Order: sequence, then structure tokens, then C-alpha cells
Amino acid sequence: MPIELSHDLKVNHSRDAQSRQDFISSLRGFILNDMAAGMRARFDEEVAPDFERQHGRAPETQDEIHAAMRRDLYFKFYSAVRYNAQEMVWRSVIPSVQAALPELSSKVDRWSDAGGGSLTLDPSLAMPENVDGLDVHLMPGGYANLDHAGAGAVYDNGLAVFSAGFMGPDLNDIGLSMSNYVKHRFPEFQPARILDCGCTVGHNAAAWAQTYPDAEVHGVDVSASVLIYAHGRAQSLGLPVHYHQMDATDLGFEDNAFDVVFTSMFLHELSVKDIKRFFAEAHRVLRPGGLLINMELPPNSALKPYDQFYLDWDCYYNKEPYYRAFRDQNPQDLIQSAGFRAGDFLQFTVPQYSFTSPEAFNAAVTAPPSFDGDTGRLSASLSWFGFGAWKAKS
Amino acid sequence: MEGEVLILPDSSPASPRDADAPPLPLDAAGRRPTFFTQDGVDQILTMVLELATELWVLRERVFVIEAVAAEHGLPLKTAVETHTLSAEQRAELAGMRSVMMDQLFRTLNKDNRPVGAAKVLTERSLKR
Repeated sequence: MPIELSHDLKVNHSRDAQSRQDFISSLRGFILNDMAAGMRARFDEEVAPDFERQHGRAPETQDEIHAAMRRDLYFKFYSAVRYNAQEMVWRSVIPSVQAALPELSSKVDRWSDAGGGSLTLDPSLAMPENVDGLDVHLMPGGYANLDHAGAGAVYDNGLAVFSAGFMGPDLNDIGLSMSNYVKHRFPEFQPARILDCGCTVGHNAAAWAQTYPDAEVHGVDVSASVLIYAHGRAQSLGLPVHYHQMDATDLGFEDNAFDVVFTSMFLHELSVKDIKRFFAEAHRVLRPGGLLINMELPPNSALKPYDQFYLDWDCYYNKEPYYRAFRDQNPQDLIQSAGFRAGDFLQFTVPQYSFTSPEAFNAAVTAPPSFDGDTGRLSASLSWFGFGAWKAKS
Repeated sequence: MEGEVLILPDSSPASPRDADAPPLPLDAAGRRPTFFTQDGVDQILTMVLELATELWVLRERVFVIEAVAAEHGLPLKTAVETHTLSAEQRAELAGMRSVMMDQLFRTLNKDNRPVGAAKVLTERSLKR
């Protein structure tokens, strides 16, 4: 079931729209559980044995599996239904957002006056091609082509349908899980300034503000639309966050300005070249002893070929062209190329904060760090994968 | 800086409060992929899924109507069976069907296939 957003910028959906959203959330659950299991069985029982008969060996790479599966009828139905469901997610919320646009603008204005956070827009900022050159996630109109809150509202409401609850009650479970991982695992570390890069509607930046109420939290994104929305959203939740229209590969902050630089599901939307540029910027704006922490999908090197093929579906069919190239990288190599030291690298899995008891969460994050590839979307009990590094103190 | 909305200087006249903004698009840019080799199967699958969604919307609404009616002691099922549609109600339903048709055949229109689009129009005009 789609979650109901609790902040004041949530839009009203008619009963029919809500029914449609319920159906699409259930359809996605059916695709990602039942159809995915059926497709795996199809691979094990039909496609892989066929491949072995033809080649005298099992398929060894995700490309071989993809090529074999593309001819299989089950894969065709899985992909076609999943692609349609993705389109339907957006179509189920856009009419409601369209109707709410005038009210959204006045709400953002009203909540701006409440104080606490801020919004700084830079209309002269050049849009990166990976943002305005394609409709990422098949989101109609893309993220950055509007100068009002519309794209932010479409994304927030669409994500509520898409995630069917697994991203937490305010879609902020990744931010809550990652910030509480830091808080519980490194209790002596008290960040005063925190930066979320590629923050979209600011849902996870707001979570960091919730976890560290005494810290000054900033969020950057290239899209004015998502930031206008993020500003009103966070203000209405009473969470002070400072949002800036900025490119994460060219941050307008001074050196050594932050204790934490955070990203969530951001790196896989960037080219490897831009990831390296961003990590170099993260290293520059972190103070010595500060922490870079990224929530991402697990790298392909940690997964079996079938799971690589399964996770990289989005790269081919969901307008996320860099998804696979990022996951083909070694996270530690990327981090070190930006100036972080090998000994300061960390990677871990963390249980979902919203759905885990405080005792179990604390026990999990204070255990020795582990990562075995059984994480992210492939895990039976969902957990998030994180990696990053401390910036050397000297 | 608290509570402030700051727009940095720029030569562009664009305003974040543009009241004349064009409608939000419903379709992602670019061609949709085809997964099936036989012509038309991808579009038909979309139609089936849209139809299934709308069928569910209707089923849920009927469920709610019956539940609400029962809570209020209304003999709704009997009344529905004996109801005769007025001319106005028929016209209203025709308009609703037209919207549903647009949704059902949206991939034909998006893929810009004149023959399919013409067929849709013919069907609709016949029904009217």
C-alpha cells in the first residue's frame, strides 16, 4: 500500500486516484516478489540449462544471462509489466499534483515565513546532461525542467506509491537508518554541520536534522523544483534544513566546512567521471576527521551473475544509464582516488531504522561491520548498504 | 539566513512562481521499449494493465458504496437492480467512458500511429 505523507505539502488524491495507487503499489509488489521469483525459476529450470547445452558451460556473466533471458517469454512479461507499472506510478499522481500546484506554491510561501531553514536558488546554474537530458526513472518531464514545485511534488507522491511503505512513513528511512548508524556506532562523533548531496525533495536531509537536532543541516541539488518543494516540506515538518541549488561536482562551499557529507541513491545516477569529481569535492569540503557516507546499491563484484543481471534491469529499462557502470566499480577504489586513505574506508549494512526495535538496531550497528552482498533489494529482511571514509585528521 | 528564500542574480526572467507554467506531462520523453517481437503485443499489455487498474478502482468504489449504504440501512442492491438511467446520466457516463478510452489506448496515441488513432476516434464517434 502507498504510504500517506504526513507533511503539509501532501496533495489530496480523490478516492479513485487512491484506489489506482493502491492497485499499482500491489502490482509492483507482485512484480518484485512473485514475478521475480517466477523469472528466477524460469532461469534455473529452462534458460540456464539451455545455455549449458549450447555452450557446454553455465552462463558466467550478467551480459550472457541478459542476452539469454531477453529471448524468454517470462522475462518479456516481467519487463513489460514492470515498465508499465513504473509509468503508471507517475500517471497515478500527476493529475492530483497538477490540481494542487497553486496551493502548493502558496503553502511553500507560508512555510518559508515560519523560519528555521532556508532556500537559495541559482537560476544561472548549468544543468548537467544526466539530469535534464533524460526523464530519469521514467518520471515525465524529468526532475529539473520546472521552475515551480511540481517536479518535487510528482517525485514525492510518486515515491510514496513506488515504495509501498518500504522507505518508511515519510520516505525518510534511508536518512534515518544512515544517520542513526553514525549516531549509535560512533557516539563520540558529534557532527555540527551536515551536507546531503543530490537531496531531491530533502526527505533524507530532514532525517539527519531529526537525528542530530543541534547540527546545521544543508542539502544541495541541481533542480530548483525539487528544492522549492524540499524547503516547504522540511519547514512544515519543523525540521530546519538549508537547501541550495548547486552541482555536487562543483560545490560552492569553503574547504573543511562540513563534518558529514552524505548521499543516498545518488551516485548511481552519475557517470564515473562525475562520481570522482564529487568525491574530490566531498573530500575538500569535509573537515579533517569528517565522514563521507553513501547509501547505495551493492557493487556487482559482491553479487552472483544472475543477481547482477536482476539489479541492473533499471539501467536498461528505467532511464538510469549509469546504474550499471557505477555498480561495476570498486567503491574503495573510487573513494581512494579522491584522496581518502585506504585505512579510513568503511562499508556496512544497516537494518531499516523505521522497522527495527531500538535494541535490535543498536545491536546490529555496534556489531563488527560486515558486508556480504545479501543486502539492498536482494535481502530477505531489507537492510541498506553503506560505504564511505573518514577524512584523515592530518 | 533563517526562513529566507534567496534567488541569486540571473539574466533569465524565469520565476519559481510562474502561474502560466505549462501542464505537467504524463509521458516520459523518448520511445518506449518493446519487449515482444510480435507487433502490438507491448501496447496490448499496457491496455490490459490500464484496464485491470480501472476495474480495481471500480470494484473498490462499489465495495465502499455498498458498505456505506449498509451502514445507513439503505436497500441499495434492490434499488440498483430496478434503476433506469436518465438521459443526463447516460450522457455523463458516455463522457466517463471517453476518458477511460483515452487511458486505455494511450500507447497508440503516444506512438503516433495514425491508423490506430483513427480507429479510436471512429469507435468513439460511433458510440456517441
